[in-house]
Amino acid sequence: MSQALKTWALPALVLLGLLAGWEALVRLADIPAYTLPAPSLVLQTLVANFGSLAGSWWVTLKITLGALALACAGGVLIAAAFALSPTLERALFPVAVVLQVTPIVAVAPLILIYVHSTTAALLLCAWIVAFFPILSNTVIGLRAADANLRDLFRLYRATPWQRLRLLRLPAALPYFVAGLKISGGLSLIGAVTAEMVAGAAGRETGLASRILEASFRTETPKMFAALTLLVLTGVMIFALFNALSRWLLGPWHASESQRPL
Amino acid sequence: MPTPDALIRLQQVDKRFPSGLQALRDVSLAVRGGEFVALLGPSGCGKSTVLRLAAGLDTPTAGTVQAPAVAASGASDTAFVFQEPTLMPWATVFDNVWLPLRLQGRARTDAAATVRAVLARVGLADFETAHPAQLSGGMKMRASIARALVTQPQVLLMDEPFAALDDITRQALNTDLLQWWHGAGNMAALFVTHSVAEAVFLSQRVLVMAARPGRVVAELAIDAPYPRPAGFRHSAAFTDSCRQLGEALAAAHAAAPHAA
Repeated sequence: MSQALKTWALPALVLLGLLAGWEALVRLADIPAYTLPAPSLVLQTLVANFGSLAGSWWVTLKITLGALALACAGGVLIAAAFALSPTLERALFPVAVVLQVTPIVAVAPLILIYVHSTTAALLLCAWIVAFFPILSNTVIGLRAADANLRDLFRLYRATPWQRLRLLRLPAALPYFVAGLKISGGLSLIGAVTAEMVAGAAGRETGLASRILEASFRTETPKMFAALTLLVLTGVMIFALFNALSRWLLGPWHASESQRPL
Repeated sequence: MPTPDALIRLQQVDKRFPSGLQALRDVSLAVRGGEFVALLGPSGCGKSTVLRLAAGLDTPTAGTVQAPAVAASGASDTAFVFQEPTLMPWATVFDNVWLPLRLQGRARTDAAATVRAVLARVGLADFETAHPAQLSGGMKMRASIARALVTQPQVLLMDEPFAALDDITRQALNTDLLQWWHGAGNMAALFVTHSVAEAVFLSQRVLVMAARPGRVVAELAIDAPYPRPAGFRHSAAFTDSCRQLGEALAAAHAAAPHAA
């Protein structure tokens, strides 16, 4: 009981306390809704506009998860190619670094000009932001196999493919999962940033476009309603990858050990 | 000293690392099939380097190394047990022991009977689905030895495998190791240790090494027959061998140019 209290009840109480404080502040100080809407009003707005917001939410979610899936595939495949060919790594890693250090807000307008389909452009922007942590973590992980285990594989004359599949990829898994947790949040940020730059272009608009649109009309409660959905999405992704990490690493990796640190 | 049936033979081997450190100078030794030889010496005397050369994991700077692992065809004839258990933490005990056979292309179902037989022999029959993190230090080492035995190697190389274990576990594993070695027929064992008592209890022959540069300075035959009961440790012959080896180690240490 006390363990459940610590893991669930305590954070929930803190969150409820913060919301109650916010509600009280708005009501007592008589802050107008266009400056700061109370949580209750945000909730009302969310419920009233849920039909149209849900559509936008789905658009943003598709871009985020799509970019994340491509970042996983791209990051792991490129990292594996780097692992098998150090020459390739030397040749291409700087390109990956350039992609990573270029602020996405600055390149997004260019990408939107060059790529005709808005969906593809948004995907590309979110992918650029999300793929680097997975790539760089997996590259390190693929080199992190225990030295004695490497000797053992050499002694038994394992092929490069056997070494990759049975030694280097499993050893890289904790690193990959750590990268995934970072990229999960980044892909949402990338998708939202690209949508902000794209504005209301295209027929389908995501949550970021709705926030922009609402801000033009000073519909602050609606901005908060869309923002709430974005936050929930981020929290969902975070929880999903924490569960994935526990499932993949729980039985063996120290990062998921239940023992106190 | 001609030993025509030697499985492992080092002749006038020098090993110098790229750092300039001379790890071995003029080391010659031979281990026959069915023989249990211990390499005894202080840390840093090149014992592990000898094992790595015999495993084909390193090449000599000068001299020759003949061993199954160095030959073109001997992929599964040599097994190596490291100082740490060196198990794959993500894999179950079964999968860890299956690994050498798997690398030869043996499928899980095809290898299962062999893997289970070895696990039963080392006393881990009930732990095949456990992960290494769930095992004690001694059990991890048993799994590591099971992995070494699963290919029925001709040569078993062991690099201070029990150094990190408590005395009781270590003595139990010493007794078991002799049984496994004996049960494996004509397997040659080369066992690195810095424990005089362990070297005497296990082996037929002890090679004493000195450091800087690493070289073999003495050799002692242990004549006691196998199987050796735990009581062998309290016999006069055992004590006498330990004394002789202790003196050889001390003499080598005193003669070392930079004795530390």
